[in-house]
Amino acid sequence: MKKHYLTVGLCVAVFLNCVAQEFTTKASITYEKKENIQKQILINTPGMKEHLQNMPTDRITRYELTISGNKTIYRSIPTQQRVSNSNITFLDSKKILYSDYNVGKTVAVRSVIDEEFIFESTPGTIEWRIQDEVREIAGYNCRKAIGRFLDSAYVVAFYAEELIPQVGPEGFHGLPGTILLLASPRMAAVWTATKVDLAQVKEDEILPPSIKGKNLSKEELKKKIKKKFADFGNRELDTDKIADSYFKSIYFL
Amino acid sequence: MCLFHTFIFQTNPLYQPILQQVKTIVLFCILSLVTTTIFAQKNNIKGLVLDSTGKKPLSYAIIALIKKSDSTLLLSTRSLLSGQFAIDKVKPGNYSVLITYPQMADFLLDIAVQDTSQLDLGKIVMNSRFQVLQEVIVRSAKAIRMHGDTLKYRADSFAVSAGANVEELLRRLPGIEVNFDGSIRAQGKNVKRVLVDGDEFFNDDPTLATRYLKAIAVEEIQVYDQKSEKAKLTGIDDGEENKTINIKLKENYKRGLFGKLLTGGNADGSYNHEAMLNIFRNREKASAFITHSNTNGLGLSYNDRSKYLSDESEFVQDESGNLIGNMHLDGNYGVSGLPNITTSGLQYINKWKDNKHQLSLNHRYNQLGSSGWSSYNSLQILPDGSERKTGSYNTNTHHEQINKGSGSYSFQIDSFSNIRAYTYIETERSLGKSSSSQESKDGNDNFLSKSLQNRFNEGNSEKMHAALFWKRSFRKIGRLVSANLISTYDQYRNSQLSETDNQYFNNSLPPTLDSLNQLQKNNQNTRVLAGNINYSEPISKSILLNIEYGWRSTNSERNRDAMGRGSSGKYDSRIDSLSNDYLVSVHSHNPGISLQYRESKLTMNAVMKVNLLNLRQEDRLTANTSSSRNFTNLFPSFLTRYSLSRMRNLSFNYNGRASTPSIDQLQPLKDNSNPFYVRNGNPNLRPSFNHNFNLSFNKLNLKGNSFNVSMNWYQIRNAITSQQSIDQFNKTTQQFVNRDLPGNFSIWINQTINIKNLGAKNASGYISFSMGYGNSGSLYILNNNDITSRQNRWSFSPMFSYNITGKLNWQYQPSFTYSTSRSALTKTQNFNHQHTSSLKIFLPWKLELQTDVVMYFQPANRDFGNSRNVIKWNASLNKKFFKHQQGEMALSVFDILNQNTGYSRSISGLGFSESAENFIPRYGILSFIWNLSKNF
Repeated sequence: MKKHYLTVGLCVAVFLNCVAQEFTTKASITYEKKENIQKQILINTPGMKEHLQNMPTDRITRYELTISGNKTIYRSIPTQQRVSNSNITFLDSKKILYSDYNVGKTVAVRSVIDEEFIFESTPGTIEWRIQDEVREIAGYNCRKAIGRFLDSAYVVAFYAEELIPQVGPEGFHGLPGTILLLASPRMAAVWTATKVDLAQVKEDEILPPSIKGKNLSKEELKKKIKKKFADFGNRELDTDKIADSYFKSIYFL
Repeated sequence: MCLFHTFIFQTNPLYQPILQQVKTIVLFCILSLVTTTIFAQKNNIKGLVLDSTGKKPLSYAIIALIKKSDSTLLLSTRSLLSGQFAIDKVKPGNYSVLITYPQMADFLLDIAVQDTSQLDLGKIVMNSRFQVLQEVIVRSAKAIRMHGDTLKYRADSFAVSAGANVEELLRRLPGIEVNFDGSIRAQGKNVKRVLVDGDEFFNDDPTLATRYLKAIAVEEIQVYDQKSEKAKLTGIDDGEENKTINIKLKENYKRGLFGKLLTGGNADGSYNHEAMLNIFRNREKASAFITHSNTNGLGLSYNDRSKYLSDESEFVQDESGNLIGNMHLDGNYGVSGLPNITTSGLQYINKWKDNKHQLSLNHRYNQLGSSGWSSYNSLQILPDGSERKTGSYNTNTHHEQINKGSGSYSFQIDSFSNIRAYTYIETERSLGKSSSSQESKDGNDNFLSKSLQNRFNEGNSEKMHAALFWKRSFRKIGRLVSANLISTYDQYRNSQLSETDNQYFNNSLPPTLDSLNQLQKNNQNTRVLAGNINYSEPISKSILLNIEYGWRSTNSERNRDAMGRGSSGKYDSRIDSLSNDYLVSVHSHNPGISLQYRESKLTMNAVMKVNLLNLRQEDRLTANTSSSRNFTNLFPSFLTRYSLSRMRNLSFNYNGRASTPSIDQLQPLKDNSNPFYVRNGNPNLRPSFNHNFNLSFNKLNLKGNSFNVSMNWYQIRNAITSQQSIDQFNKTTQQFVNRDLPGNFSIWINQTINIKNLGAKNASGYISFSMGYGNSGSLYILNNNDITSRQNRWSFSPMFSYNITGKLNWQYQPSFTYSTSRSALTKTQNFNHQHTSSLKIFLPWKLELQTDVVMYFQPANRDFGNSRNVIKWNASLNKKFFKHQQGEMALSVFDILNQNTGYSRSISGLGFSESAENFIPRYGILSFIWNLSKNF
């Protein structure tokens, strides 16, 4: 009978192979943002359909999110790619967003047409509903969640459980892990993580941006944008509406 | 219970975790008592997350608090390195706590938080049941999840090649193994039933569903243990479980049709044609199939047998009041030779008015024709040391036709009661001719007897069964009343013409001649009326009482007219000594009581059933002599099952079972159909009693790994054992007697390990090991000598599987068996090993190459001087056509090496035997397959 115990014991030993999970609090993530420009324009100005024929459908831009604990810096990666002559497409050519969720502070730098602004704010609140769907993004199993912010706007996010910081691109945060995919139907845009680098994280670059610029409040910024758009606009565009949606994207997205 | 645990701990290192767990619980209780007294101010939720072994803490598990009101996330936190977590200052309200961890099933637990709540969720073992507050739901976002006791696989998460069938999908699922013959194992256990959307697909044959249904139509594969029919009726868990797979179809495939047409043949006259059509419209389903083939080889394999010959199972009571599944499996698969088989089936299932009404209609038709030969050689050693050699040669042709129809209608009267009616009708006609010659010799090759026999058979039978089932539950959970009534009428008629010439040799004397020429007409009618009433009442939350009463009466008329050849040359002179006319009746009453104790982890079950039986046999030919016997039998049983965690179970069963001697054993009907085999009755037989103990442990996880151990010991007291005596002419006289049989022990271990990402991308595989050891004793009684023999049998059969999606599937299954048999007369040992392997390669141009090989090796040993090695190798090349690969052409070659011999041999404690049958040698076949599917 001793032989049997040995066999049983051996089997148990083989069986007790546990899963070693890697959890991390520091990472540098590269996102690729894919926008459907035609859709974007149509959302804002439905009458533009015939003007869109010569326009490319998609535009791709890239961003880098550097994370250390609950502090992040989100920066656009300059690209050479010249997509279109349309005056809307170059709007978010430069973007820096510093967030410190420990103290609840965000500092953003945005270029609006030809001028750069810096403004301080607090992270907005998002109501998340966790879903059942799972998708693999950049080698991580990510779980779906639907977020609602500013009362009515929806986004879809996929977050990785293995990445502990509750952060994501464009200032989205608050999920139990780091967001690796973000989709905004309203913006006709999808941010997808293409690379998650755990080794080379430039932590010392996570600092509030300091540029020569005007530190504006929320209301001031809104007015400023509206005016800018009105100056640049042509008759075919509803500049007020575009400015409004752009403000929303700057303020939160 | 404590005693029980200690016992197990000492005997088996497997169960060490239980004690550890108990220790941890105690420690944790003390710890939590201390901590709660310190922080008794604001509200606070805390707990400890452990992995599926229940021992290792899980750090960084996500604990999310979700508002019940709008299901939005309030906050989330991570468990510490120690596995502990704490959340404080939570706004009062109702929340769901969602705990997730990569690769593990989710936990969802509802809690109510007040201003001063101090909630301790205690130990949370991921993947395991956790019941601290009322409601627990386990949910998962993964491709595999555990829902209650059901393991669910989302089909779309597992890639299969275009046009693949369900079998191919099952091969991809971790934890599921598909064997070469299409039989399925899940978590190391054999799958008994395959359902489609909860309904049987034609019958209990799993391969019909898995081979004809397309993987693309499947939404989800569910694997669970289905309780026995008895457990469903009474609510009392009797420990009997059948692994069941349910194939859930996608909604859009429930409106549509799909089917298959196959035609194949070769120049030598082999053919195989199949057609199958399924039409679904919401809850309405109609299916039809027809097959026509002569390539089914020697007899029929297990799969073919169930495919061609079985039908929807019907539940009936046996004589001791136990509900048994009656498969309507006809005995014809034993026919040797090369059968040509035509079979067809029609099925219609409909459910309407919120599934309150359910109707199911089935028809099956089978036609089987076969002709063949077989030969048999045996050597038997008698207790006095002398030998008997027997050789026989047999040819036969056989033809039969079977029609079966069944219908079932069930009606949900209200939310509490349900009624079901079932009918079954079967007619069978058979015609056969066989001739055989037999010789027997003694050890010095002197003839003892010679016999030549020709037989013509014609038979027909009719069966009519009807049953009514009623079940009612009540507001009080657990209270249940059920009743059933079954009535059957079976009629069997058979005429047999035998011409026999026997020669007996006795040393130097001239041989004695004995010839027989007679026509036998057998006629048998059996009526059964049986009923059963069951009442279950919950005495407390965890105790359930069940009382049942059943009765059964069987009346059977059996008569035989033996007609000799009269002077006119016709069979018209009745031979009274060989004719008989009996009236046999069996009446039984079966009261029973069972008690079940069940709390979250422990189930205990004690049952006592009594069987009061009266057997009566009346000989209507010989002046109404009748005999009657009364028996009282007890059926005690005891079952314990302990869930160490959701995926780890330990169970212990005891079953005591009395078996009453049958009428045939007490007083057989006179029968002289085989002059070399005479049966005598034994009116003094007592019932036998079987003690059976079983201890088993099983464990599985969501990755598809599983581990099972099962130990079994049984012994039969007063076993009804066959006693034979062989005379000098090798004529056997047989009778049943009571004897205590030696005990039997067996152990079986199975372990399956899944391996993901083996080298290439999309590659996966699994390894499974099964080991078995059995020690059994058997008793032969020969010429008044009791010969006990002991058999030891070791077997080891691993299985390896490797898949690269869209490229290749490979499977290899060797099996090694070593057995010894030891008795006062003989001592034998036998070793054999078998290797089966199959390989499927997906080539360019939609070509698929499939090959399988079965190698059987039996080295020479003392009993068989020559080794026996057979390699059967089959291969086929498939080419798929059209956009959706609906078309397929296949060139298959069977037995490429032409090694099929139709030969088999066996050893028993009293000698050995070998037999040979005719077989199909190497052949090739070219087939065209057209798969159609359409949605509407």
